[in-house]
Amino acid sequence: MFGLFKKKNTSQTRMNQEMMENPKEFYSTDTHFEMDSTHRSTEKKITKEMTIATIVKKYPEVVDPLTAAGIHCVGCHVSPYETLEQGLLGHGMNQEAVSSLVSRLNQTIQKKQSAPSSFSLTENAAKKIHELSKNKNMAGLRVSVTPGGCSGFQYEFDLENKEQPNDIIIEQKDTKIFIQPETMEMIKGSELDYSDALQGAGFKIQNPQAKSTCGCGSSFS
Amino acid sequence: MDYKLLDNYVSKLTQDQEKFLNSLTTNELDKPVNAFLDKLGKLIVLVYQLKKKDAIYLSIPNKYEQQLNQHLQPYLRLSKVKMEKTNLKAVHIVPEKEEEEIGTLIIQQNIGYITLLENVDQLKHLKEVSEEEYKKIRLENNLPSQGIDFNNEMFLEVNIPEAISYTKGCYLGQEIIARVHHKSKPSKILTRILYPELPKDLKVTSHQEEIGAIKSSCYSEKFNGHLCFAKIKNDDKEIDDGERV
Repeated sequence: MFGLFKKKNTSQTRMNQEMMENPKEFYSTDTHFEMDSTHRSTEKKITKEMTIATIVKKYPEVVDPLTAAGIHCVGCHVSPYETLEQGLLGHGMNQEAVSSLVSRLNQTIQKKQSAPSSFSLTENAAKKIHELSKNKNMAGLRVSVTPGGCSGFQYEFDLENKEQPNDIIIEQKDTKIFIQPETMEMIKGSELDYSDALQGAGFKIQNPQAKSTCGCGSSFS
Repeated sequence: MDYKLLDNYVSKLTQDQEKFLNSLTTNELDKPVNAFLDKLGKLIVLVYQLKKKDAIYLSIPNKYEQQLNQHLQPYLRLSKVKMEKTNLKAVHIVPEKEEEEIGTLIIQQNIGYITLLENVDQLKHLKEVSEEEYKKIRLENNLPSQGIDFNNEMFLEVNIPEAISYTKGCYLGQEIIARVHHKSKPSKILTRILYPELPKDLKVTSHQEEIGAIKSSCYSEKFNGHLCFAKIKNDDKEIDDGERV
């Protein structure tokens, strides 16, 4: 009991020291934690105490779920001064509905991943995904790693109509790529390309994590 | 009719099981035997398999459970397949004549069949063969056993051609297996040899030069000599005092 108390005090002291020494940095790390592309943050990014303007500026992807919930004041002149909670209560919501919407907004921003350093695509790939999605009326491309091939793992590409639970969505160059977290772990840092050469035409992934590939290049380990 | 309770456990694979196994094993799924290899073509484990409509059953030696689990872990994470250990027991039934099969999950063998049973009480009226007797059955019917006659060597050295399909498509380790099979040959191979008398020190020689070692042996009345599984150099040299069978 004593040890626990002591530890808490030490941690608190350290926090206080950090806050005093460099308040800007302290607060910035507290309120702005970037989500790693392969790991989902369990901490809330959006809280009901944040102003609507701050939320929309930082996470524009929440505009759709906000307006869908009947909150059309995202561009309102009061939004820089009103917290999300105040805005929602003002629109007739109760505390339970506020919590539920905050949770939904956090889910939305967790799903959205625009992290070009984690996974990128070339102009050719984007053009092809755009073309295929448009022709087949699909939302984007799903990239998966599955067991297979001579080296153990192989890439799979499918046109996708809608996102699945836990999907990481990469939105780049006007296209959407859906990736499951297990796959993302294995292709982090990769670049997706498309080649329309006579030999070996198709999507190709340059994966810096691949230690070796098989002779035909379709599988890796 | 005799039986041998195998030191195996039985796993049941469901949900995407065919795609999963096709990508990680050497043989077609409707064949009785299959193998998991690493990417260098070395054997992880040899299994007996039974394909049913909604599931595939694998009979896996207990000794290799941990090794297989470790091998499959990264692939299971990426697949929808469900692999669960069952309470089924794998029993090798060795009938003397044509008799009604015991059980419903049957895997045919060179001799008799392996049946996967929940309850082995139904075998009470049969005689369980001893280890020595079972070794003789294995040797006479060309059934080498992992952990006795071979371990984790390059799979072509184990010389079980019925466990490999060269037409099924890619699987982990296939590149090495296909290349060695089509362009070369394994440097060593597990072979069955018949000796009138077992050689001293259980060493296999050719023109007095050592070319391999005996892994298991027994005296066979049927073959009128000592039968053995031996791992030897893979060439056509004559074997001193013995012959390949």
